[in-house]
Amino acid sequence: MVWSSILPSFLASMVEFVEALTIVLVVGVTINWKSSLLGAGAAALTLAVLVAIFGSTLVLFIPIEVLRLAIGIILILFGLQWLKKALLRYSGLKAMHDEAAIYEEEMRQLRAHGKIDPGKFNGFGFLTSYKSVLLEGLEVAFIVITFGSTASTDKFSGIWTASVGASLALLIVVILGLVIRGPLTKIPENALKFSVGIMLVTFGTFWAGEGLGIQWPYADLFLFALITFFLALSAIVVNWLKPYGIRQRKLAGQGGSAR
Amino acid sequence: MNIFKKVFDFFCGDWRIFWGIALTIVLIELVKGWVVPTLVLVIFLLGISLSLVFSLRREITK
Repeated sequence: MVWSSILPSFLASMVEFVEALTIVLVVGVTINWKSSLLGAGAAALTLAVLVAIFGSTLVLFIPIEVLRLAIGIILILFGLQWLKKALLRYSGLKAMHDEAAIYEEEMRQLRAHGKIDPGKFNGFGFLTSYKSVLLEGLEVAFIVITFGSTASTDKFSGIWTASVGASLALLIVVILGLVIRGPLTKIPENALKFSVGIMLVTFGTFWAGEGLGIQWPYADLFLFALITFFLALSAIVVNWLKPYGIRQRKLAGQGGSAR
Repeated sequence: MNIFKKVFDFFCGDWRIFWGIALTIVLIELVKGWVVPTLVLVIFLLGISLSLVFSLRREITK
């Protein structure tokens, strides 16, 4: 199941890299590109070291059956978090992620730091870029390690294919960032987050179930049944939550007009 | 203490989901020798679904 390690890491990486790129672009434009790119590069290096250390530890020391149960449970918890946020956004109970607004806000904050020499290395710019890429990349590293080490019986090649998925996403996001030179508002971030949430919960359920001794009917093909199940559940949940979202927006509107 | 909260927030972030999944797994371990495999599967999926639903219900009652 090569696709099962490439696709989730590709989609999840896409979301996280868009968020990280927003900050890298802001630091590059407001402070300078040298500090921003050095920060992003240093964070990418840190993440590669983390994947190598934790990935090889998992591959060498933990049997695949134990790994599938533990990682399955963690993926369910991790995936339900993504799914919950996406469902709250779809139903209007949580604001959509607005990269343009985040870009403007970060610009405003960085400009407030005063006059900056655009030619000189800037420690604050380096750290801002480093921190954002590292924090966003941690989720990617986690997905690459977990999906890579459990999706196939050869755990090394699994981590390798998952890393290929993540690298492909990085390449696409960087190219888009270079072309647009601004926040990537055209990428449907909530739809991507929702897809990743569904995938994480689906694979988590499948692997944790196997670890618990559940015999899935039709083996790997049952993954499609699980995807359908979680999509149907999400549709029911959004229908249930939508009236609350509309009510919340009405109350917010009344509060705004009363001021 | 702060570091544990950060780790928890990174991996889960919601106690209702955490306890929902924990209870589901305990329940599966308890019943899997007693009931038919299809019922175990149904309990597992129901437990995951209810964990999400109870967590979302708290958001609308906030």
